[in-house]
Amino acid sequence: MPLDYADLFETAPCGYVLTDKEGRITRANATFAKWVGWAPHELQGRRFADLLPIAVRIFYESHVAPMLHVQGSVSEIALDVLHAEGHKLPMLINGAAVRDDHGQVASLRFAVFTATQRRNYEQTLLHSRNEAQASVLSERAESELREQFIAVLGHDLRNPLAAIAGGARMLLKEQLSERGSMILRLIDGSVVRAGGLIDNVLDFARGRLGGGITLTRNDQEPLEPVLRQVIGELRAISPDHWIDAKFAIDALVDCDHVRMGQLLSNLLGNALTHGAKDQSVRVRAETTDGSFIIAVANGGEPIPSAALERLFQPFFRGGSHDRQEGLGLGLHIASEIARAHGGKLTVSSDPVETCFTFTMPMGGLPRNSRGRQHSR
Amino acid sequence: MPKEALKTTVLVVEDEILVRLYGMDILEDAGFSVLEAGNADEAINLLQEHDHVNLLFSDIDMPGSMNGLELAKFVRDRWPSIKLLLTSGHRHPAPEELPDEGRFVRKPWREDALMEKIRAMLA
Amino acid sequence: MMLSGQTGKSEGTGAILRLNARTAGSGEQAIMFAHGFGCDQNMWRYVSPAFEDRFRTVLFDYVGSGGADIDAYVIEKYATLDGYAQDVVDLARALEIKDGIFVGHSVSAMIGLIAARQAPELFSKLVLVAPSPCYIDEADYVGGFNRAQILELLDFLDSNHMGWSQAMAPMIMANPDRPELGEELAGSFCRSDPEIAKRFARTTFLSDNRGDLGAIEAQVLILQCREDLIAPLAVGDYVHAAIPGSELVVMKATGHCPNLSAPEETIAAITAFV
Repeated sequence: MPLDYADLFETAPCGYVLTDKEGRITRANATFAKWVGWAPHELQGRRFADLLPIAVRIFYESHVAPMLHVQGSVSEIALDVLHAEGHKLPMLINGAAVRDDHGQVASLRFAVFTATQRRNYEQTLLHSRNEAQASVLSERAESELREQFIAVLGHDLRNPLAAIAGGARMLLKEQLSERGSMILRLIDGSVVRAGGLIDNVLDFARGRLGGGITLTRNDQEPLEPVLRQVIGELRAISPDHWIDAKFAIDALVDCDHVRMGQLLSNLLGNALTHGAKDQSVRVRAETTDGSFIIAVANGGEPIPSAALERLFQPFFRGGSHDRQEGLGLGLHIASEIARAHGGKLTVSSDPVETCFTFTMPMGGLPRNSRGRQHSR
Repeated sequence: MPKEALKTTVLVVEDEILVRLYGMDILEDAGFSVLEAGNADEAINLLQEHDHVNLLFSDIDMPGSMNGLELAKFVRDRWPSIKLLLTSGHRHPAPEELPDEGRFVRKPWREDALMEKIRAMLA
Repeated sequence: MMLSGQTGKSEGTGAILRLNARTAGSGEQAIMFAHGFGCDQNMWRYVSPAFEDRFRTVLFDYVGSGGADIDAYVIEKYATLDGYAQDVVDLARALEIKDGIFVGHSVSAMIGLIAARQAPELFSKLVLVAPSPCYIDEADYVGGFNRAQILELLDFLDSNHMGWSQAMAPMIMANPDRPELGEELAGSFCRSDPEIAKRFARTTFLSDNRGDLGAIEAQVLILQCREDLIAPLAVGDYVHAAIPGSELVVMKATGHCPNLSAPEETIAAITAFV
């Protein structure tokens, strides 16, 4: 059956608009006329651009029209078209230029689709996206502010803490009853713990604000006394816990002594908190096979394997203990210290023992580690 | 007066009072004669009055016109024979930031380690 | 060819690459074509070849348009037309143009004026095609739009960049009348980064550059379209009056881009002037 082209044109499910090369409408189909609220004959002779709100008209003149002339076609252009009653109709248009035998543009053809639903959808998406972006930005700003606050707080807390420590140590030299001396030792222990917490918090905040753990390397002085002192401090805090320490450090270890002390302190503190009270905590520090190793082992309940994977994440707390857990930063910081030294921190846990092992290669620090040689 | 001049004298500079007292305590227990100042300006005044100070033991972060590092450089210029020991709980200066033969000890102090260091410097 | 300017060699080649500059033709004098808002150098494709036998033609894209180096876009620099004018000066110096001709469409007309004032030795003739120094009406001045309409345009760009940032499918263009142009890929005409396009629109439509009109050493020709929404007749008259000694030609062409819709007339008008 032959197609009724006239009917196809007039009643198409889209609008058709034909213009001359200057953009004046020569023919518009019934569909388009109905959409814009004009009779077809009223549209004839008017410029297509006149049906657009001013802003859209500028866009049309500066983008669409030139494109039609150069490229010969445009597609999926979103425009607003003015209804005869004055409101805007969101539409999508495709356009094509028809050239004469000399290759000059003779007329233009437009296919027009209403796009109200689509435009609303796009607007909603855009709006949500902008909101989400703004929210991310403000959260980021807030979190940075928070971390800066933490850094300042930790920083400022150190002074009064040092003062308390100094004061307590001076009092210890005074004539005191046994009870008095014991109390002062407890104060001292608390100060040490508080200091450790602050160190961890500051390290964490510093890491988050960019910078990472900085090292001051020292390969001139022995490490053992530093580690022994850490053990001594923790022994003083947990007198009922037996700490069994073995040292076999046969060479000078190129590392940041303070950080190594901090690493051991965190591992040991962890073992003392979570380990079985009736078993010893074993500390081993040795140089062997070109590596330097610190291992801290304790007995007691094994760490569930689900927790094992997350142990070194910041703020992770076992959850299986209802006692004071601390901030959950100790292991994270320890693993960051390990990493900064080009080494690693691993954990194994079974019903017999839970053991944290720090290993680092002895052959100098990796080139990309941040640190300066502390040379003397 | 003469008796004090024979004892080794350390000038302790620290703005936190308890910490300063504690440092002085450690030094006095070890047999040193101690002068104290709460900031760089006080320290310089003291050094101008007393000419027998052997060692300057100073905190780095202090309020006032100079911090400890600047004070150390100043003292090194004016009184080159005075030994310089700096300390801090916050910062760990790189070797090149310290004046020649200046030393650093980190807070919190371990009494024995601190005294070992000072004795080594004065030897 | 006489040297001009003190641009260092590296800065010079920088400008040529940065602005995707193409030269063609040969001749002692150079003629530089500058596109306007919303387009790129392709808009001159029907006009510039006509000058290749007598002149060294130069085409380029502003930063943020066409094939120019998008990484060179600096918000502060291009917040005013001065930044664009600086690029024109850099490019002209890099190409060692002296006493050349500058043909600027739409906002480029003003950019050319600023550049010519900054470095008078570069251009002895200026052709301003559909120029406007200020689009917003103010007091007695008729720019063609009120502020609300311009702001609506900027909003429209904001919410509609999906409509025009999609790369237009490359079209193979056959031009039977000009077989020497052959079949070419039209390429990504008028594609520009939507963020930059918004800023360029802001810079173009919100700036008041009437202060850059006035006496100028170079000879000036103004090509005004008969019915141009963006640069209406009143504006053309204003520019003509504000530049003493300038020539105004009202073309038969309508719309805002006579170089596209009426290239022959445009070529003829420019030829008569140069």
